[in-house]
Amino acid sequence: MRNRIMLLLTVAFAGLIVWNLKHILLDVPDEARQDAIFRILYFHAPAAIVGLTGFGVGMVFSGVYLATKNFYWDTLAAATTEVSLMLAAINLVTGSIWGRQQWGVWWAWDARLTSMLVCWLIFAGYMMLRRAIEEPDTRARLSAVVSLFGTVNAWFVYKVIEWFPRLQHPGPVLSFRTGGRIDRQLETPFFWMVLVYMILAVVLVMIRMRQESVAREIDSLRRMAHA
Amino acid sequence: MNGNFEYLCYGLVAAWLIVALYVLLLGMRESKLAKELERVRHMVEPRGK
Amino acid sequence: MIFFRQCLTVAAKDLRAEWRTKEALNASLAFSTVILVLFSFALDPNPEMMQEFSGGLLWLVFLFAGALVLNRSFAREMQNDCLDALLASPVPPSGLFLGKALANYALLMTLELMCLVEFGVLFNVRWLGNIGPLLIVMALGTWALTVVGTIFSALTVNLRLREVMLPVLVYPMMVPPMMAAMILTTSLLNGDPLGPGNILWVRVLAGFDVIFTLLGVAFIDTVLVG
Repeated sequence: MRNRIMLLLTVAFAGLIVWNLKHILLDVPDEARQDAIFRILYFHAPAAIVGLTGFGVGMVFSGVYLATKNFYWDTLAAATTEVSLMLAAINLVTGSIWGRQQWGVWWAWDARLTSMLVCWLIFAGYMMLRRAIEEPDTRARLSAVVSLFGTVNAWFVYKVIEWFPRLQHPGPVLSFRTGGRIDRQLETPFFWMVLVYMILAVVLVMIRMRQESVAREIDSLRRMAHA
Repeated sequence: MNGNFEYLCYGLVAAWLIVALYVLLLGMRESKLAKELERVRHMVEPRGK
Repeated sequence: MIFFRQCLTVAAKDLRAEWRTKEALNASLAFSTVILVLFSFALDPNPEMMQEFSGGLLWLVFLFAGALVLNRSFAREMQNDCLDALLASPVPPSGLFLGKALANYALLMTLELMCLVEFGVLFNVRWLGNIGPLLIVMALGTWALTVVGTIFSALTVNLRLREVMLPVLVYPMMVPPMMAAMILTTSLLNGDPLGPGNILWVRVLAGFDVIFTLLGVAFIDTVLVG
């Protein structure tokens, strides 16, 4: 059943990405000042949205683990955070490439990319902590606390870096929040891309979960063997 | 489409390369787990019999 | 009342232990001196440069030297199972956390005041003018470092790679309060008063302090006991 769902989602992902890619590359017109490169927004921003949502969702799962002490939730939290790290990395790399083209530098220390970098570092620390602890109960408990602290901190990071005087975008930026909206016609592929990343994230989390349950089976068999 | 197509390509390739690398990492982890599972199952089976 | 007395008892114990050996204080003071000297070689500071990032430099020194103090906070309890004894005592984990945080705070403030004097001498920075607001900013910023550092010191106490994991976890978390503290300190060291332009950052520091103190008190039980 689970495998069937995963297969279905993978097919949906493949279909949607091909369809959306065609739409983005061929149907969307070039932007006035940025020409073709602005299409990278369709891969850059949805990755940030899904990635940051993933970190928040991971925090919720961590909270549920602490409340129920059921390892399923801890595994889910770790899988979600790991996949979100990947999406955040996509956001950072595409943002860097976009910046290189637009502003001539690989890293412009602008507010949004810097916030994402700090978030990435916080949750990379979370993954490092998990690798450093072998005992499952301790690992789940401590990483849940780090996830909670990290997510609250991520909110602070975003607000504070927004207010920091030196870290402003050196050039024009497309922002939904500050009111600069992109054309209706250009919006649709954006939302489809968010869906594509979400499906990708769900599939990868499901694969990761299956791996974790295999790891737990190995652990219990090993205990049985050494008993 | 003109102008910055080159950088657009770099960006798209980079994004999907990261996904591919992560999937590769998952694949490597999967095979390592499968081997370990086989090994531990062999350890347990003779004792169970 | 009992709770506060318990916190003060724990804080007094830590401070007494530190006073007898002065290990952490000496080590972190020496370390901060070395960092300041290295910074002067790396940056070749002239007055214009110091106007730009005196605050940033100062708080970097506090961060690096402070990690040494914070690491020892729970690590010193590992010998002879002292941590287990503390947890078995009538002091609740939250009392233990606040007591240790208070002790760390006292140590960090002492360290920072000594660093401030050194900094003023080595980099020719006048800080006596705005001493009041500067102390307020140092107090708020140091509490942020203390609270986050203490909870993560408890978290990493049983890990093999404790000395590495503590900075790796703490420094990214310290980005918001450090940014606020650095901006405020730079402007105060340049002679600007704490005014409507600056007050946002004081609020950021205060907000961070309150939220993370509450989080620390709420989760210390989970971290130490389970």
